[in-house]
Amino acid sequence: MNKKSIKRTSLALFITLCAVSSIFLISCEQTENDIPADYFFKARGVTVRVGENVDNATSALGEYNSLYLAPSCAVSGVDQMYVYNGFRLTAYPEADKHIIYIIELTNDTVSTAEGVSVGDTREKVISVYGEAYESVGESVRYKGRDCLLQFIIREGKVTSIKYLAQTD
Amino acid sequence: MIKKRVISVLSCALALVAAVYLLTLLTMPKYISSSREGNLISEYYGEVDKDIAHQVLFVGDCEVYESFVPANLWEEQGITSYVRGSPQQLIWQSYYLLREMLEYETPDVVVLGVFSMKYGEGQSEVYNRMTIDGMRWSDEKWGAVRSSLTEGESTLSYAIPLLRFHSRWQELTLEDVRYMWRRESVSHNGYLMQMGVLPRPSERVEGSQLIDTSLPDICFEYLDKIRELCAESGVTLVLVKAPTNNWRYWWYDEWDEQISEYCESYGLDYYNLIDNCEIGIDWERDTYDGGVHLNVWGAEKTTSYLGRLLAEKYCLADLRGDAQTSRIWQEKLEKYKEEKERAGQNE
Repeated sequence: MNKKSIKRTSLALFITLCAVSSIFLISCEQTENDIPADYFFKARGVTVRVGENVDNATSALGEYNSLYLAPSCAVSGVDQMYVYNGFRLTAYPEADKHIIYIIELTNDTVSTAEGVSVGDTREKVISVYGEAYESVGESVRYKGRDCLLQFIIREGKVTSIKYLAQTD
Repeated sequence: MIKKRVISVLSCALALVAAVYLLTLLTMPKYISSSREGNLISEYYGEVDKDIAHQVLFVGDCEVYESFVPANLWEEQGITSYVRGSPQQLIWQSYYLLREMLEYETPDVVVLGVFSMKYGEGQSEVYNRMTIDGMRWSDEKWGAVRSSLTEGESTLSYAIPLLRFHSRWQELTLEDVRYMWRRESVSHNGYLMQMGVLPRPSERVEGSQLIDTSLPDICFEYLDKIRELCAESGVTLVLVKAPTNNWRYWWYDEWDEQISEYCESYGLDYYNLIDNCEIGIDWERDTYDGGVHLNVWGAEKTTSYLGRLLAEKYCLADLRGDAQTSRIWQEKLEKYKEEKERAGQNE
């Protein structure tokens, strides 16, 4: 191999290395904003998540105020809604268990794990959760790792907070 | 030589078609011992084949086929009707079903259940099947298929249901063989009788707040099509919301306003029967599932109320004086009462 071809080969190698490194840097570079947040609800010292077995949650949470049932139109299976002070859990049937698909905060006696409650302002929601939200009218929702965190806002104040199973 | 080959090929093709047809009949769900709702759509053809026409056609989901009783409408008002309902029937499915029915007959009134206006996209393959598989081959069936497909569903599986149901091979029972060719009717002119009693909880639980309370645009597009179809056919369209209002299937005020506004702008009548005291629903005994749907007593009260409205406002003729119609409907009424009595004894 002569000097010219060594130079050419080295240059080619260097360019390739730079290109590959750039690709890695671009694809792997993740800011805090790119990693979906892990949204969960906490009440009575118990962590509750969308997607978990409702029996596990209700056993840990203890006594509930009411349980409501709603069958489907034709196929077998009954949705369940457990009502507690300040929040409710809704679950759908899957095989021999029920899976939580909505956690709803209904008044200001409870708050999200990040400290937002019904009655708080839209500004507080955004200051706590950031700008990476989707607007639906006045309301906002955040896409988490396993669920959507939704703040229904009317006239500048939070009227309902929901953790929802992601359907897409 | 060529002739023999052609005959041979044709014979094989015919045998294949026959085999697919028979296996389809065998493997398709029969909806007799469970999910009887799956038979509702196809039962309409029993009326068509006997050339029976109706003054009123109902279309919609379970709120319609469990709230309105044609036998009751006949007995009290002499009005003939059919309920073409199915579980979670979507608005575009209602459109295609109505379009199909108007090929066979021209009623005076079409009553459309509005609850399905909340669904802007296909929900469930199971419910799609219960609505669409029961339709006869037609342009309307294809329209319903194309507009309803959910993820994973294929148009071809509706053309050749064996592609979807072949896996039922392992679940076949005597019922699948017995009802391959013919099934007894499960409904009374589309009304599915429910005799159970499970009171609605006394504490009323409302549906949870929605982030977006607007009804989907696509639903209004199909409502427009239904309205125009009725207008072209000289049929009066009436919109109705059944008396039921459960936290899981909540009818929001915002939706009600949108439907009311739509009807006002097009001169249509809309009756929201929720909390209508005149109907006289007793939520301790007129529901079989805690207030989600009505049982036969709740449905008869609802039908009595709507029947008076239909007779007075839309000048529907009382056909009890027509001998042939009376003969047909007396038979239907007796069959309805027999089942009600038999089922009442079993409860």
